[in-house]
Amino acid sequence: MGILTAKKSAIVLAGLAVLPFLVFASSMKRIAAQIDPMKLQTGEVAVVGETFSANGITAEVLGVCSVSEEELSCWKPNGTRDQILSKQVGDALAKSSNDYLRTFQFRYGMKNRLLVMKKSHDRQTSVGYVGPYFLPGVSYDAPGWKDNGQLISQIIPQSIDEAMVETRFMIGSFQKSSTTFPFRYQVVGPNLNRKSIPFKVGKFSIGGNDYVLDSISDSPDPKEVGRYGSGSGNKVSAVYIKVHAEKIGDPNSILTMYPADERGRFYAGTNMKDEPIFSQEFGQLMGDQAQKDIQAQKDNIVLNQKDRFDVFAHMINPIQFDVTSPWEKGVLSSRFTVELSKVKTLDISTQKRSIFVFQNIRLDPR
Amino acid sequence: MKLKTVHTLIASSALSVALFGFSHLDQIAKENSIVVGSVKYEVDGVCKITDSASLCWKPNGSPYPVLTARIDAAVQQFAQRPGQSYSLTYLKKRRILIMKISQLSLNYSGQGNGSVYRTQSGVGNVNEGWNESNSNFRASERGFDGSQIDWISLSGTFELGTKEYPLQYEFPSAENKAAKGTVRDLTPGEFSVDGNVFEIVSIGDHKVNPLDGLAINSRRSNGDWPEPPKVLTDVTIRPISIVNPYSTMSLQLADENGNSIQYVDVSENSVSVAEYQKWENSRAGSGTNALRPASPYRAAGYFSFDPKYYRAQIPQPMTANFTISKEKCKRILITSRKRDVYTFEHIRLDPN
Repeated sequence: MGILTAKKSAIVLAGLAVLPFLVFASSMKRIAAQIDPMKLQTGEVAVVGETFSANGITAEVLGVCSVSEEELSCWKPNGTRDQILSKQVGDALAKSSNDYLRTFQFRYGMKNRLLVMKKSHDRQTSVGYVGPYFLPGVSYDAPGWKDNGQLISQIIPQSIDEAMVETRFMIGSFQKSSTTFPFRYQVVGPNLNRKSIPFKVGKFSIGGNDYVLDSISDSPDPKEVGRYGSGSGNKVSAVYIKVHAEKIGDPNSILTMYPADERGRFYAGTNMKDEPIFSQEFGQLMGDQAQKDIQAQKDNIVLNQKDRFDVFAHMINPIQFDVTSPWEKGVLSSRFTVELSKVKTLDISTQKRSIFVFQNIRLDPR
Repeated sequence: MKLKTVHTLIASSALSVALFGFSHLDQIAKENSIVVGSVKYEVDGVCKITDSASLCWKPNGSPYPVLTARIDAAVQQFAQRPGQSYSLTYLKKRRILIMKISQLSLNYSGQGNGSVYRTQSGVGNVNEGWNESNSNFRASERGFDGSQIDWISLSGTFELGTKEYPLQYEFPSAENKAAKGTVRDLTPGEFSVDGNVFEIVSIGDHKVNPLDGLAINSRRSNGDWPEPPKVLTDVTIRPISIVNPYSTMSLQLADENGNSIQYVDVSENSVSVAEYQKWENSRAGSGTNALRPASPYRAAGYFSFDPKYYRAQIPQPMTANFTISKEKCKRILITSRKRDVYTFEHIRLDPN
């Protein structure tokens, strides 16, 4: 009887442990089930014309190109042939000093295209990630535009008030029968809703979502090692946490967490003794080290490796949680590189992701 | 002084040969095939893959529908795999070369696996030529009689104007098996290996680059390296003349008897490869890096020089790093490995 009760308890406990995943899975499934990438999703903003501006970012789709080893031909998003763009892109690629910059991946049996876009950032406004957006639940392999990582031009601002302008390529593989495909672009805004919460297991809410801090430990969960990133097993003090999203009210709200002291002041790094320090002190320390390096180089002084190793401070990276991330699937295991006993509160905030959709981008010229 | 003049002369004549594209030392493959021991290597065909078709032709440019059908079937099959893609470089020709390797006898004799002989490092820009990367077409055929044919693929990127491009293929020389190397004192001075002349310019304490610290900090943040590397001695070596592009020189520390020192313990005593391997094997079972103890051994250091990577000119002096203090670096073992290079000429990059 006792055994049976224990078994029942185990089943109930297992059920409880699985519950958050089921709730998350069902909400993600609901999102995925509704997805037709050709249609505007809830919360997305349709771009009128070929340009939008938000949070200091202006993005414009210049056109679409088809490329072979000998030819390059471009057209405007509406399909009108664009000889000027063809020449600009062709010349930029031809002049590229590095062949890797004009190498593109293509898929056999698909319609392979380049999308050329211009992005400018006024640098006065702080933003988070800016780049293409993939609908949650849609395979990365599915048709869509992806950043090719190629930068064909970048104008670095000379002063703080000038915009940084860059032209980028997206690459896309589509079904041969497709005639148009939308381009989704995300702009993640600055940190908002900043607040301090106690650093303990339990539920918290921010940015329209409910989260649960499931566990806190000073050692990695062996089952989760691969999720902490490279070098997960070093001997630097670290706090390992697991968080899951319990209720997703706003999938475009991205959570940021910093370890903080009892007064809610967040730690930016650790000093040479592995003690956590705040941003001002950390900035000072990094500046001093950089100066020391520059001076050593100037004087041709050989610094002892061991000494250098000892004086180095290192940064504590915040933990970010995007509930739509296909990697995390609604459950995040991560770590702060700081000693557990020093963390008394969490400094949490959210960033709002805006998704702009350039619709009806033609995959062939008219 | 006289010696240096001779060296200079050799070097200048060598460079004309050893621009290393093709030299009289190459062996030319007749009809695009060679036999090495009991194995026949032949260039079967060249293919081009676009997003809508595959097309193959024979090395002389004539149509090769059989190979086209085989490659196209593979490409269509691969297209079902997630993430399968091919590369296209604007204003460059990208081609695939299919090499056919036939075992001519059930009793294998040969010189091991061949590989593409490239005369340049390929760092930075994409250089013209055939190489082994991004080549994933493979096939095999075995007969009941034990015969075997393999097909492997190479890939290449070429200028648009290039009509044909040869393949140079190398094998470790059969002579290497008997090579024992020579031992000399680790003191400044010249030495020659297969006609190539080098000079040990200096032996000094290791100078730490201040920027090494950045790498260390990164390791510290990312974890997993219990100790920074402990380089103690720098040996600067200057190539003086390179007349033989087919000989690779390597240099290891050696004990009084000329035995190479590959690993050392914390007291800088030589540790046998077997002992080192035993430790590594025991550590391999310890799970993640977090749980692995730091190794009590370290590699003693090694230097090798392959002339094929220095196409146009004799390189600047180079520094070899050793983890033994200068006082203990007494002798070195110099070995050479030779290669046989075969050239398959006139491989057409487009069909006729």
